[in-house]
Amino acid sequence: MNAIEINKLTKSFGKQKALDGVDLTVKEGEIYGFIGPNGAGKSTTIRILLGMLRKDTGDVRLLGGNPWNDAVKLHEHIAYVPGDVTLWPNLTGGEVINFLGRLHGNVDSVKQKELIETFQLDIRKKCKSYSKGNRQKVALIAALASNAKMLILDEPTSGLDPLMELIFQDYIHKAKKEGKTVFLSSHILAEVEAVCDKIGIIRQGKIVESGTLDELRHLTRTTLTVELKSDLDLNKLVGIHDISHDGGKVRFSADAEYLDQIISKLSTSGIKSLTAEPPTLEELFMRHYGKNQGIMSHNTAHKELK
Amino acid sequence: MADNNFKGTLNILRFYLRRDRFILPVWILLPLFLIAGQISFIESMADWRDFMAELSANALTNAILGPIVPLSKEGAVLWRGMLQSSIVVMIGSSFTAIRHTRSDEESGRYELIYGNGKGRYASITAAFLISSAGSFISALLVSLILIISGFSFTGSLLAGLTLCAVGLLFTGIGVLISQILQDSGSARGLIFALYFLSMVPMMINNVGGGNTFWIWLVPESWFKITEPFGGNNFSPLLVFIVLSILPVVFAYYLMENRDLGSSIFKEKLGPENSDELKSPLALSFRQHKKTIIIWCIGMAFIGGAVGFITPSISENISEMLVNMSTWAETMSKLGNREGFVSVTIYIMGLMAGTSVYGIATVLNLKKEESEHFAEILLANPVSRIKWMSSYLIIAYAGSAIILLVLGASVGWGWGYSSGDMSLVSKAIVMSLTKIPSVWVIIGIAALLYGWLPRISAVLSWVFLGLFIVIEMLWEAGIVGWSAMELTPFGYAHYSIPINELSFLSLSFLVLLSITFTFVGLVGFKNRNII
Repeated sequence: MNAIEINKLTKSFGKQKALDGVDLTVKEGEIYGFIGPNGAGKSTTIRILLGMLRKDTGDVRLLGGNPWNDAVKLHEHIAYVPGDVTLWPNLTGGEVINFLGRLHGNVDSVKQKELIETFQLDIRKKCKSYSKGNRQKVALIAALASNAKMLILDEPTSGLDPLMELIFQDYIHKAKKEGKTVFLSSHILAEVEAVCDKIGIIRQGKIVESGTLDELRHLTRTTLTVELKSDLDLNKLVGIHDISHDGGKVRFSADAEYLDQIISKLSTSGIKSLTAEPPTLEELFMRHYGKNQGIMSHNTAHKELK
Repeated sequence: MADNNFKGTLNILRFYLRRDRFILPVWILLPLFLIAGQISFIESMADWRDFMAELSANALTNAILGPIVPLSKEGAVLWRGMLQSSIVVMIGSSFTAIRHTRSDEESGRYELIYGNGKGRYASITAAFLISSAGSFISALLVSLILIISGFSFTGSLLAGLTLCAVGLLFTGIGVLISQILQDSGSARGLIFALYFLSMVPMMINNVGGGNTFWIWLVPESWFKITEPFGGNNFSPLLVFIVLSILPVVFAYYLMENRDLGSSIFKEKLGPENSDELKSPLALSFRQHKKTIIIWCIGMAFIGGAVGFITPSISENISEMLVNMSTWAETMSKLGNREGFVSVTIYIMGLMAGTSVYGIATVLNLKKEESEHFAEILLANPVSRIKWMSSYLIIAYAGSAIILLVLGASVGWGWGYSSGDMSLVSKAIVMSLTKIPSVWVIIGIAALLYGWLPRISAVLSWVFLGLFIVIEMLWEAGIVGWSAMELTPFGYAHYSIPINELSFLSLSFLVLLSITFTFVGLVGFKNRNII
């Protein structure tokens, strides 16, 4: 069964179109990474899934139910962490964790204690004195301690330190082992690469790419660095881009479908050394920035290579 | 190298002025309109001299507003307009100061400014300058309108300067409590509390003849010390200035001696767990408990004092006044003492007191929503209806409790000092019969929140303001009773003796409030969470 099924979902705020026909499927037990630039529609999608916003058109099913009409019933099976956690300033972290746990009703109190310890949260402090990372921890602890079937996480680790980030990833792996479904919206691509089974990239209210990381990689270029015995005019080859020279080495990216041809041409010139880097999620992601792609070519790190 | 603590003050000042470009003119111009309105009102009355003489001699108006000093056209204008103008400037200047100091610091905006190479004092100085200048301009406009209306230059100038002094004092108080308290909500609450507390010495002064030492504790009545157009006492201004400077100096001292973002009170650690927080209602109760207690203490304090001084008011209302105004005519049914109690319970229990509590409580829903507290709560299996109801229950029940405390304390004070304990139940009935009207106002706020969340705060206050304006127009004889019947105030009005209140109308008001609330809940259930 599918945990989330979204078909042709649209949502506008006045004249501004936030979602423009989103199609998305998350299978039960899957860790789904939902990535996209700011303002692409990630939070809007999540808020529709939570029944906070009403959809305009399209179909949305969450755990087999209608997220707007069955909100209360569905929320028994869902734990949610908002992207920008704000908490009641006069309550302590402990009080909030407890309160949210009671509201949810299905919480593992042993796990809760364990989480408070591993995340090293001082729960006696008032929420107003917490830093962003600490507020994020409060919401994470409350969500991860619940026995909910599904976790909906909207940029849950923004503000966490790298150590806490690892602990978070560890808990997501544990959640997968327990058979939970995780819907993870994130900007931290390393995090998505590390934990997600499947990835969807949203841009301007539409899913522009989706699949496993391997599947997505096939769609893009591999970066090759070669050292050749004799000279070869790479510009003549089809499917080669961004050539740069670094000492005796040449670096370029190659289209997946021409990889075969390119390698055989290279070998005729005699290969001294060769390294191939699969495209990172970052590179995949950058391809979808559209207008902002210019930033990549102006980026100083890239200039150095040329 | 010595750091310039005031660096960037002018930059920030310009920035604050831009942020305040809509709200600043409101409180700066309002006193002008209030005074101008009073001038035209009195000018238009053919027999104002007789009316004022009678009103001034009346024990009831005396107890509420104090004597008219001097007993002239000018004095009458100030008597009717200066108190309100002073309150506007008090609230305006102190809230402006709080807005740019504590609110900004609380939200972290101040760090952006301070981190940008501005001096430590730049922000507080800019806030101080805006509030002070606002008070000064407001006062200047009042002086000008008085002079233009042909009143004496000296008196007009003194009236303005007195108003300015009140604004300066509250600028200072605003800046100071922003240093002491850590959140802006409590800071604004404290300003209201100070104002309400000042009503007690004001009434003691009024009943005690109008010229006692108590008046010094009532900044909104300082014009009675300087007596523009009468005694024209300029020397108290010096005392006012010194009083206004003290809190400012103290505020700068505290600013230098505390950490950014914190107050001078160190924060304590709280509990690890709370057994009471079991439901949205429990949370809502927890969030409002303190507010309700503070309202009750305030009501008990002021109510008790009002009740206590009531027997010292003479009972007679003069024939002549009754013939001259519809207001006095309706009041003659009650007599001065019961009238005084009735008016006080009406103002505190309905018009300017409990309604404010009710609206503020409903609007906390909006705050919880826009701060995204609602989102994290509603992501749990909690229905929207349950969440919204938990705040409305606190609004409904809290207002009833506050009214009960008000009635009981007025009644106790009145009964105790007059030796007639049957007055306790009378005052309680007077107060509790305000419940349906307050509930209608809560219902209106709930309806607006359900359907028009973004503008619900402004609209709720506009509705209350509209009802108050109709009340004032009725008192001035400009609109008839039928207009009052368009407001929830008209059915539990102070001029209606308790045995003449219509049970049917009050029941209808309760039904109306339930309907409004229901429609509001439906609206909230079916709209997007913002």
